[in-house]
This record gives sequence, structure tokens and C-alpha cells, in this order.
Amino acid sequence: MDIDRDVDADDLGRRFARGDDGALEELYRDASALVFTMALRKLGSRADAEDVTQATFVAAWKSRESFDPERGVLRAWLTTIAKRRIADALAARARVREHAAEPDVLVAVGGGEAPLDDIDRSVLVADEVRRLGPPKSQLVAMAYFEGMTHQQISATMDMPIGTVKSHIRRSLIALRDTLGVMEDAL
Amino acid sequence: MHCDEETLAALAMGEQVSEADASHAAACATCSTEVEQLRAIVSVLDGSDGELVEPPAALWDSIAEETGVDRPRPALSVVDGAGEAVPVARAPQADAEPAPRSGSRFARWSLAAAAGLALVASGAAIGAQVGGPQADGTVIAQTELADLSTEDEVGTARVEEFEDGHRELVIDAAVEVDANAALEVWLIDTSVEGMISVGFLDSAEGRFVIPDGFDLAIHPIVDISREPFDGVPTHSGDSLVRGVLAEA
Repeated sequence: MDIDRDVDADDLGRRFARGDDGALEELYRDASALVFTMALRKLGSRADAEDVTQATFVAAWKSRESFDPERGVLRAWLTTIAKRRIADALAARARVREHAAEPDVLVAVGGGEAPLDDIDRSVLVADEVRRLGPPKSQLVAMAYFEGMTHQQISATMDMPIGTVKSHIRRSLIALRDTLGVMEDAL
Repeated sequence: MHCDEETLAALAMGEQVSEADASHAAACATCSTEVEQLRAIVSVLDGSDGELVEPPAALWDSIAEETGVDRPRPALSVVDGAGEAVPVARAPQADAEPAPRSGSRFARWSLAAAAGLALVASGAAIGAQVGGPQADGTVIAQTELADLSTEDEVGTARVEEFEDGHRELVIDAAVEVDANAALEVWLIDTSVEGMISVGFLDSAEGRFVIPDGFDLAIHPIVDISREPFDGVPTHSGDSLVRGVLAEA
């Protein structure tokens, strides 16, 4: 199942870079909550977060040819663009005119200049947990987001405690792998 | 020999492991680095509330307009639905609850819906009579229905809105079912996770009242399933026919 998902993501990266019909919408369905939540947390305004989300997807589509599906993860690349757009919105808000013209998306794609901060990571991890799919996503959410004990989770899910723990351990390993890829790409 | 990953994860979570594993992990640079990485994930998880907020539905429309990408046609979605086994009865995810609908969001959607209706009313007077003499509501959305195994068109579904504001889903389709089961009609969201049943179809035409306030923009998939008489009220996962509603 995880492998299927990776293959799908890989395939979407290729189709996106080629500009295939439907690829932008698929990426939007897949990652708009991630981008929007990240923007909302940073900007604190729904209207500004909507603007940033729109600008991010539009910029991603316009510069799709610069995404290399052989080398990068589409979601990580998109996150880089989103971070740049959020930074621009914050700068504009602070009336700091960094750029007279439209900021160049490509500048942000090289990586390294905008490391993830704690807010980014907390939104990214929420998104990656969702991607684990049930039952892992539910178990991890209960253990960490809702602060339930393994005993309580075991009772709620009617699942042996050993199975609960094993799922959560394997989830940690999967999250370490996916977030590591994201972190490296940024 | 290095510890296996699950043992390292257990250590990162602060669980008890065997003495041999614990002392190896403490002494081995490779294993202790891995434990540190996993601990970092634990601390990110601890620092997150897990919340993801969906942007408003209208945002995609703005993006599609600005980029000029084609909006996918409903018929394509039906073919997609036929091409892969869609997990219709997937369990809801505890961690991916949509943000609670705030007053302002609701108002915005109502406005958007009203704008949509105005468009239908002014631009498509023909739409009102699509349903023939029996249709006394205004057709606001419709779709062809396709048999998921053959992809043949087997009929149509439409949503009629009446003067008092209530809406009805009208199914006009020839669908066969064996004697041990019934045909149940569902409205499903585009991620095929959320759904409601609107009732059972027992003749070629069925009319079903759609609950007021139920958001068709989010739940545009019309699905007819074979439901065995097994006492289980959820979707059987055995979808026979589908279509995706589009504004009339």
C-alpha cells in the first residue's frame, strides 16, 4: 500500500512536469490542505492564506518544467514555493519591499535558503500522518495529537496493545523516512 | 549486530527493550543516531496538534481560472471510478477532520451557492424543462450514470430544486439487482470518504429528498450500490453505477 502510494506520487510528479491534463488538480487535491494550513499558521488570516495558496499553485504550474521528477519529491518542491510565498506575504505585510517585480520562484527551488521551522514541521507531520492511512493514521493521532495512552488506544480501537505499539513504531520509522526526504529537499 | 528498526523506535518512544538491545544501542554510533532521529520525530509529533485546514472549495476554481487548466469533465471521473477499485467504505480518519465550519465560511458558501443558482436561472432557462413534464422543480445539476463494469450509460441522475428550497435527487436508470439485495442510492464526496444514503431505488425512476444544507458541491458523486440484506447499514463497497453531478 505504501509502495503504491509512492508510485502514484512519482507518477504525478512526471505528469505534472509534463503539464498533463488533470495533474494540477490532482496535486491540489493532494496538497492544498498542507499549503493552506502552513500559510494559515504563519499568516493568521484566512484571506491571506487563500491568496498564498492560490499564488503557490499558480506559480508551481507556471514553473512546472523546472521540477525534475527524477530528483525531487513534488510535495517538497511545492512546499518550497509555498514557503517563499508566505515569506513574501509577511514581508509585504511588514512593508518591506524586497522585490519590485514578481519574485522569481526559481530562486527558491535551489534549497537551503529556507529551512523548515517548528511550525512547518508540525503541519508537515500532520499531513504525513494523514498519508499513513488507517489504522496507522488513527493510532498515531490518538497517541500524539490526542495524548491517549497505548492502553486507552488499545481499548478504543479494540486492538491488542502489542499491535498498537507495533503500528506506532512502524509509523515513526515511516515518518522519519518521509520527513527526512522533505527536509533534504528544502 | 545492529538493533532492528522497531527496537530503535521503541527506544525512541521510551519503551522497555531487552538489556542486550539497550546496551548495544547506547554504544553503537549508527544505532544511537537512528534513535536520535526517531526521537526528533516523536518531539515533532508532540508539538503538533495534527490539524489540517482545507481551503474553501471556491479556491480551486480561482486557480483553475488563473492557470487556464481544463476542469475535468464529469464523465472522466466515472471512467476513473470504473478503472480502479475505489475503497468506498473506507473508515473515516480520526486525524483528518475538516476544520469546524465557521459562520463566515458558511455564509460565503451560501453566497456562492446563490450565485450559482442565479447563473442557472438566467443563463439556462432551457434547463428547467430538461426533466420533461414530470419535472416540476428546476434542474440545478445532472449527470449521466454509467455501469461501472461495462462503462455503458444506463440512465441519468438530476437534482431538482423546488420553490420552497428543498432539493430532490431524481434517478432515471435501468439497474438490475438479484433477489437477495437492494439498490441503495448514495451521494459521495470526491475523495470517496464521506457519503450519505438517500434511499433505496425500487423502480426505474426514484425520487429522493436531499437534506437541506447538504453540500452537493462537496458530495457530487451519485452512486448506486448493491446492498445485501445483511443488517449492515454502511455501504457494501459493491458499487454498480456511478455518475458525477455537474451544474446544469
